[in-house]
Amino acid sequence: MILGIETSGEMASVALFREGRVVGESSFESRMKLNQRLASELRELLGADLPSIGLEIIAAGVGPGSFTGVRMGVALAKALAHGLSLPLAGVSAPEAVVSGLRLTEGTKVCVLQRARADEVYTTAIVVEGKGIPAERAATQVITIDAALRAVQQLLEGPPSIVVGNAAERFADRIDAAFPAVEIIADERALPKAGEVARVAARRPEAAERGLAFSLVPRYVRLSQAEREFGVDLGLSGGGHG
Amino acid sequence: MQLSETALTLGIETSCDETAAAVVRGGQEILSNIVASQEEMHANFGGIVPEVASRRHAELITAVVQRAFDESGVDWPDLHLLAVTRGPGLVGSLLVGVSAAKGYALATGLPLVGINHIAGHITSSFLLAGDDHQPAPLEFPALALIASGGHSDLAIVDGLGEYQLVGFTRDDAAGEALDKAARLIGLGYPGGPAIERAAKKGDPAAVDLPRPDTKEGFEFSFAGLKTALVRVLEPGGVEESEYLVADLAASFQQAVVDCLVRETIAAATHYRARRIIVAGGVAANRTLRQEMCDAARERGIDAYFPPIWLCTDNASMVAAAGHYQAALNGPDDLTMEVDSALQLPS
Ligand SMILES: [Zn+2]
Repeated sequence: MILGIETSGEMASVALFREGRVVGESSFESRMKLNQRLASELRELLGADLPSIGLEIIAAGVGPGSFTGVRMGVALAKALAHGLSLPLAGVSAPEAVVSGLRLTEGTKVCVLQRARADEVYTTAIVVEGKGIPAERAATQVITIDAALRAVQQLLEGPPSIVVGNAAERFADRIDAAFPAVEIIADERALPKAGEVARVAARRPEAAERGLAFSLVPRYVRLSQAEREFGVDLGLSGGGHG
Repeated sequence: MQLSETALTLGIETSCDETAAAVVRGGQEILSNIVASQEEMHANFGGIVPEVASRRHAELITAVVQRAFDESGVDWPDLHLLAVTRGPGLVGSLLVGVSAAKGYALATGLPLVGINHIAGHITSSFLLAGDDHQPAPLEFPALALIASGGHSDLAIVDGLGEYQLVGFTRDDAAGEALDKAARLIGLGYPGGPAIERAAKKGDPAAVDLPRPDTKEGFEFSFAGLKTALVRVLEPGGVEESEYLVADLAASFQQAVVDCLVRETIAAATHYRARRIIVAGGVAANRTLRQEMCDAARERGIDAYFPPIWLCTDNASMVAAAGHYQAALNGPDDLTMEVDSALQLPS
């Protein structure tokens, strides 16, 4: 059984995944309430006697998204994995979104998430065997035009799907760049804990006990202070793509 | 809740820029005390950057806890209680520590208490800290001064875990004032130790600086002191000042120390305190230690300071405070919130 925790967006969620399906999931508004609710939602989902329910992997959504939200989810997941001596897996928000679309092998996807001002978090993904979303490059934060150019290049052709909470806002530009594309901007564009767990289930080799100590959120952009002072403290987090 | 005299508490502290974890037995005996300081990193920016601090906490927290286990020989099944700082402090930093503590509480089923960081500092005076150090005796009421970069508070201590706020700063904290002065006279960050070093060869009476007094209750005010220093340095800054850096540092430090001692002694007298205890990063300052001890002794009371490594932020004090608080009020539940402006009850 795998526990998924996703806290990068406006809706946070926790889920249990077993034998190929989500067997329990609850989602709740994250804004301001995440600290208050996350642990109690988990207790509700897991029951009081946690060690006995047969958890095998903790899967944490690592973002990108809300800096604070991702940090809280990752810190809690690391502590859970540490306290239970379980392997921990990090799953990016774009991977979780694409996993939820149930696409066939070879499908090319562009994930566009809202970043600051006119910029987007951009991730190019190709669906591999067993429906595993494989990132062609770690997420970048760039303008929409640069994003569409980069995606075309990374995927060696246009994507068939553009998905994410920034897709609707830039629908005209996307349509112009990729005439045959399907744009998905409804609730399927949001990462969910069940999908975080599903991605972890499909690549169990990526889950490790050591990640309880070393997993870092994927921030993508440097902190404002690092940018202003022109130093890179290596705190922006890496991808694994 | 019932806690035995040998109960083991894991403490977690992430309210500012130290990622810390500790194991404490019976609320008194430190079995391990791990502090991963971010000081060098923040020196890149000349001060603490909240977003950078939060990132670092999230990166380090579980590894720091594991080191606290490694050094104490304690492991999850041995523990009785989890304690974590829930305020005051930087909200993003607090949220990382509290989230991790809740994760540990879920994983282990251990009870969890959220601790006021100021109460933690007060508790540090009662920790056993080696053979050559004397903790404050358990005789109450005591008067506590907590002075650091974030706070300048006076509290009445009626017993372990029973603290009441009786004084605070209207504007800057004492350590904050020292940081600002250090920047003005071209010394490094953090300012407190830099000022103390520079002050060693200086004359504390060389520069005429005020001793701001609010005349109300036991309140501090350090903003006016900084303004006075700015005026002394005008118009050319420290480069063109007629004063030596050492004299500027010594005079500013003396003014801060005089204010801290004046209000602390006044409050101790007013509340008939039997002891004075001083904690927080500024309590590491040797001039403050000396002058507080002298002034207290003149009034027939003793002043106690934790060793310097327990004056700055650490998790032993959080674990110990957790022990007393859980014994008095029981544990908190998993909905426990952080409060960046948390105060002691007044
Ligand atoms: Zn402190």
